[in-house]
Amino acid sequence: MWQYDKKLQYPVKIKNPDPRAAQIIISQYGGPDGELGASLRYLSQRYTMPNGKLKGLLTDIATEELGHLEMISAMVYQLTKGLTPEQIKASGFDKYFTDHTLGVYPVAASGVPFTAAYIASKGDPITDLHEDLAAEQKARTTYDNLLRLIDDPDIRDPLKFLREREIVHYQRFGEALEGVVDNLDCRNVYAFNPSYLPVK
Amino acid sequence: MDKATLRRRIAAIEFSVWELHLFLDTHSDCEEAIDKRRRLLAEREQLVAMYESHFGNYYGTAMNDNGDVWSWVDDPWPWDLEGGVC
Repeated sequence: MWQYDKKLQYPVKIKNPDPRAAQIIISQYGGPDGELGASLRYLSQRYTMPNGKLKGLLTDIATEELGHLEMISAMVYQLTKGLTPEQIKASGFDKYFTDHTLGVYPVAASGVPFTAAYIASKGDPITDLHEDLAAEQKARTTYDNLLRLIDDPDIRDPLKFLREREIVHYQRFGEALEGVVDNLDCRNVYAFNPSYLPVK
Repeated sequence: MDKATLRRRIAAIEFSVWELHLFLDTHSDCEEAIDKRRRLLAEREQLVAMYESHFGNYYGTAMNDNGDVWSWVDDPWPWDLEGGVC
């Protein structure tokens, strides 16, 4: 189970609404490398991890990603709060507005809704940890792109924090993968699934 | 310390505790990290007690100090710009 703390992991205080920024930041909510996919990916993969260390790490990182999901939602909410129809039309936010008004809905920057096809859960700790390492780097690249496009320091500050967290998670997953490979049976030289039947 | 500064300080300590928690997932034998985490938790306990003696429940997930108001449903929420907290 989970408990909720009525606080963000890192402050989000955006003074000026910016629907253009909201439209691209929302990708880290419901896009291909966003926080929703991240939390769902690790929460799904943890069951077939071979030991407590890995189950603990995936549970912890998935939980932190839920906190990041909340930060991204808070950013989208603040960036779109109180927009006038004129601002909505001028910024191109009208396409999203038509279907969702100012509600927060998981879509990519392109408008494609969230799909579980963004994640993998392969039941093989080596395969899954490689997926996780790639996922953290893809999320880091997405934050890099957002930081390339956004100038407002109020928006950049939480984005920089979230970018750093991808780097830390990548580090921890790398150590986890090393641990799995180091503990393989000596005959398993090609590092195949150590937690299921050997391949014939 | 004013309310905002105190909350900021507690949040910073909680972040450090969390970072050490993740580090310990893959470095479970690191005594330095275990010790640092223990010291930070003790510091957090002191600061939360200081906060609650002046400003009421820190986490906002339970009854207030008098035990007669369900403060969980009170504004602000974490995503509110005005008065929102980290």
